[in-house]
Amino acid sequence: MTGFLAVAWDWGFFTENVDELLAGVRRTLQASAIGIAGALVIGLVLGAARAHRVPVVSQLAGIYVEAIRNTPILVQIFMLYFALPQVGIRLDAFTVAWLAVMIWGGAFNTENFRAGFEAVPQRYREAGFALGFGPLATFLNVTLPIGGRIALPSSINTYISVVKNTSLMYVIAYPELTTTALQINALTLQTTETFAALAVGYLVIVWTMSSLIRLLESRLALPEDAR
Amino acid sequence: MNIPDWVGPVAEYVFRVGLVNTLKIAGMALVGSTVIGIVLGTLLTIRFLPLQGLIRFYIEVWRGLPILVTIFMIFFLLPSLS
Repeated sequence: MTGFLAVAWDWGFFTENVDELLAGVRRTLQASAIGIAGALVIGLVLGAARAHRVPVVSQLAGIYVEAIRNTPILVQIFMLYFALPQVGIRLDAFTVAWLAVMIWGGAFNTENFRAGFEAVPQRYREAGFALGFGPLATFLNVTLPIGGRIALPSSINTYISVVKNTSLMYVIAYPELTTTALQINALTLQTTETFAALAVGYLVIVWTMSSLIRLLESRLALPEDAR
Repeated sequence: MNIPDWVGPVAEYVFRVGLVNTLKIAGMALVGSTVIGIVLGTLLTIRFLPLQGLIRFYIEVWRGLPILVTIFMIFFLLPSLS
């Protein structure tokens, strides 16, 4: 094994640093959870507005989606953390962490849910109107349950990307998993063990979420899409 | 609000050096990733389970890691492994 590594593998690294790494995981999941919840709400509301062509809201939402989807998220993080203070709004690192991924995830989620709601066959909505539902009731009882399930896979992919994008908070020194691991690497110089722990940490989180998407898909799939 | 004096040279540097480097990196990555995608995607259709497992592992690992982690791994980990 030492033919491949310069220094022998040190299993003690993991017992020494597990506390800090778990704290990093905790902060990653905290920022991700708030970001995912916010992205879900933004996606539902703005996606519905875009799908139903609500007059002013859908144009403004379109501008928001185009601006956020076509710029790098790192630039958005820098704008929130370094550019906002120029106009007087000072946010701390944790706020920028969840706000940046929420804004980013919301833009992508808006398109996911817009596609989902537009994929609901028109005849279902006409049936809702024929039964006497108003526009809002039709949306809540017909479009949302069906369109939400159609949009579920791409939506959860966006949430997984939100979790992965929290690693970029390294640049604003929010002590999430990547920042913590790189600080440990700078202190102990045990590069191999550090990056092994970092990779395992992220893969466990991401693979768990991917298994969740497969479970949800099989449970919530529409009958005609069931495999 | 007056435009400060430093904006001109900085903007010129950003576009002359930064944008060119961005396009270089993106171009190389685009070509390389297309080649890798076509090659591995074709290999994935061969009904040989170990090969499919290996390619699946590669896909799931690099799709599961954030790209910043991948960048740091290539920059810090590769030198210490040789």
